[in-house]
Amino acid sequence: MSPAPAGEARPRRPSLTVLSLVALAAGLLLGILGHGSDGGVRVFADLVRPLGDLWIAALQMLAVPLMIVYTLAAIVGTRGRQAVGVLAGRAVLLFAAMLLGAALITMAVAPWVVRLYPADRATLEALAAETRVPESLRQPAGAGAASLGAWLSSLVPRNVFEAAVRGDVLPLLLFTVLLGIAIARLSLEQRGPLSHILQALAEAMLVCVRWVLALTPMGVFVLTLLFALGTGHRAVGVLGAWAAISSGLLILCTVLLYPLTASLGRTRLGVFGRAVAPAQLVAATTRSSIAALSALVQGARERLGLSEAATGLVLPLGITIFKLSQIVMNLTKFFFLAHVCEVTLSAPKVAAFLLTILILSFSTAGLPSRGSVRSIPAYLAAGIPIEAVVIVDTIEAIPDIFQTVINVTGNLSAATILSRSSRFESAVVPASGPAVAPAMSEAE
Amino acid sequence: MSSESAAERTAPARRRRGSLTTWSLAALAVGLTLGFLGHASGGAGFAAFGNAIRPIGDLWVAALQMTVLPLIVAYTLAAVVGAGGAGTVGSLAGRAVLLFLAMLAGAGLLTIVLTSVLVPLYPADAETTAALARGASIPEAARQAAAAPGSFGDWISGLLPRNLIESAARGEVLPLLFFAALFGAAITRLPDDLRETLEAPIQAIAAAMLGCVRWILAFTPLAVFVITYRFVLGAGGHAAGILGAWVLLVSVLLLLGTALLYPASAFFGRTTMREFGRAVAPAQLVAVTTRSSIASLPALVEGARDRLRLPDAATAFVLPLSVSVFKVNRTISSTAKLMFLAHVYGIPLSASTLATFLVTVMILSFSTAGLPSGGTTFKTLPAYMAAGLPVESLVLVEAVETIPDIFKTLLNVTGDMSAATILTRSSRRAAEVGASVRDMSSAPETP
Repeated sequence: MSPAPAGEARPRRPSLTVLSLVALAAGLLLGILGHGSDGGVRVFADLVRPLGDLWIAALQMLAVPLMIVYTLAAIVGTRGRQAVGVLAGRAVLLFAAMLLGAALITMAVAPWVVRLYPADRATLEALAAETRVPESLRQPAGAGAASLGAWLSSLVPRNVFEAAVRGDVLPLLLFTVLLGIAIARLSLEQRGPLSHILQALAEAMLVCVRWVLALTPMGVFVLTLLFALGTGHRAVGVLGAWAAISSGLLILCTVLLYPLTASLGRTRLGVFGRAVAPAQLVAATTRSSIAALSALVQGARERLGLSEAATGLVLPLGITIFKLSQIVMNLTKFFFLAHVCEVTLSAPKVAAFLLTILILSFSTAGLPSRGSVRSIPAYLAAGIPIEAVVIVDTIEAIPDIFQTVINVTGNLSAATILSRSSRFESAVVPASGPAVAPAMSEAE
Repeated sequence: MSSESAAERTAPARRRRGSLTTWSLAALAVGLTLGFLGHASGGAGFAAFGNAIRPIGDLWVAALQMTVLPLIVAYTLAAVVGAGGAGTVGSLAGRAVLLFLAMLAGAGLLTIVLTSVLVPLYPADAETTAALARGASIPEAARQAAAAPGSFGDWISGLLPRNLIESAARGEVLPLLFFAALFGAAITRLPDDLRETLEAPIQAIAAAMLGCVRWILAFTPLAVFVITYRFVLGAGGHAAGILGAWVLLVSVLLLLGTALLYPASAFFGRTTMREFGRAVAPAQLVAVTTRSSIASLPALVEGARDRLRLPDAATAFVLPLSVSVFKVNRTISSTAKLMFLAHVYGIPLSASTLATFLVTVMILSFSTAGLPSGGTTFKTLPAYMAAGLPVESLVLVEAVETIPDIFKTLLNVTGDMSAATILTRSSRRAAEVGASVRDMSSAPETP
């Protein structure tokens, strides 16, 4: 770890990640061992299950208040007022560019990889016979009619409190940013006391985050154990091939993010890897991007020393609208199913699909469950039967892990690139290089 | 778009606001013209254009809804904390506030009775109502609430929030306001250093929310155009009828309210109607021409002192206070607007909805008095929303508010004089109150 962090943090942090990795291995091992027998391991797993649930609940509980308070504090504390709007705009542009890059990589690799699996229609048809397609999926009429304008106005919360109760993160974030800019525009003596309180609240939230993250090894162990015990049926045939191929491509794209971040974000592979590792662990075990937000913020601040604006604005924004996994998964699924169902793909078909998916990946922001439903028309348009789409969706547990991991990694990568790109370094971060100083000193 | 707070603005702000009103009126005219053309020709292009611009209106309405609820809660809190801090609560001030509340409630109740008689005179034909309802989003909860009205006891017990967050999530504005007022009053009782620690951030949040609302209100003309266009496209010739009927209704009600103040002042203020009329006439003239209550304060003071011979208490304390915080038109114009639009849109209103609305408007007419700019309707927006009225409908009638504005100011100014007369002449202790007021009114200025 080259940029030496401040004293007491150093011995504790790496050991936490290592401990978590050990816990991961232990959970996996115990789970596999206990898989055959239904004796003590299962009893033990049932005993520790509440611990895992509690840990996820704690992470999710912290996520929304952390996002609001931290984003407010970051915007109010940023001295370059104009920077907030510019930063948000650049973040969206970078997200779009990275999505496009992921799409191109997938399109280059996926057609070759899917050919490794010898297509046999018989298996698929056998599976299709025993798969019931929910009627609601067959007529996604409402989904198709949703226009860009309707989506935009759905983003603005009619009632902020209701959005908070429902956990609609993106509308909440929009309101928070608007309020933050309004506070930042007040005169200094008006905004001073409030800004102090916000800083204090943000720091307190981060302390809470640190406490919960200190329990990472325990949470990782329990969740891995439960996962290894629970994934009973062995995915074979089409589904197994799909799980392997999609996970492989997700991992490939995740790995590619490291050198990208290192070169564009002017950091080192090792530093970025260590910063993102805790968040990846949380993401892999909880399979929830929101739950990983706390770990992301901590990693960005304490390991990478990213600016407040980057951590406070780009990370929450990325959690809500930047889903690399949707692009990679959908394109892979598209090529895989076309291969299995022997649908010939023409260039216009691929282009149309890509466009639809790109738009969807932004516009399904904040609607995690409906994402796959809304992409179904795009498959049907290319001639892929709906049964095939529904079947591969049934096995999602394993690809889900890698989906969350790539989203979290991509998010921190984007934040790093934005924060370290020359203009913002000079505008927001006072010192060059990673600063481990707490936020209070930066804000004053 | 109401002019009540015109004089509180600084010159550049006034110019900007003025131009915003002008732009809104222009947008209204353009929207009306284009909409009529589209409705008359029935061209597909007009309908497509209407659908294309719809998101602009929706976006604006949503943004306004988003900011207004936090704004008025923060503002009520800030207003209560700020007022308590200044130490202006005295016996005459208390009596003044009570009288204001009574007059507001009386005006509101009278409006409810009169409007429910007058509104059916304007026939809302089913076709137009359906067309309007299609174009706007009417919350289902409002219909349900109207379908199953609760008892008076239920209404009373629903005034305070059991669960603050839940009330806020459901958009129940009145419980939130009560809590804000209660909490604000509690803060004023704290020792100075603690109170100041809390007061500064509260004021900052209120100011920041006001900033957000101002940004959104800057787009009013655009939204007025979009909403008017779509409205007229759907309603055709009925649109002008609806707007005309509204202006007529509210103007009649406001004038009636003004007229009723004469016998009320004569009776409770122990003077003659003629005397009162002569005293208030110069101020009314200023009010009608400037559309600003505060601009007519000098004329009010003169009339009170020279014609009615009111004690110093009236001129030095009650009149300035009532000019700045007492807008007797609020309960009349807001209640009439609610009932009229509900009639036009075919939204049923229950007694408890009306009661909630009236109380909300009464509270808001105090706490939003100091808001420097923006239409007063938009500050009472959550009250309309809680009653189930679509925001789009408010934008429409808000655009033609310029004419009723004249009568609003007229009523407010007359109400100010009336309140001063009643307060200072009804009591046998007028002299002693006058003496105490002389101390009080000079007290805040000495430090």
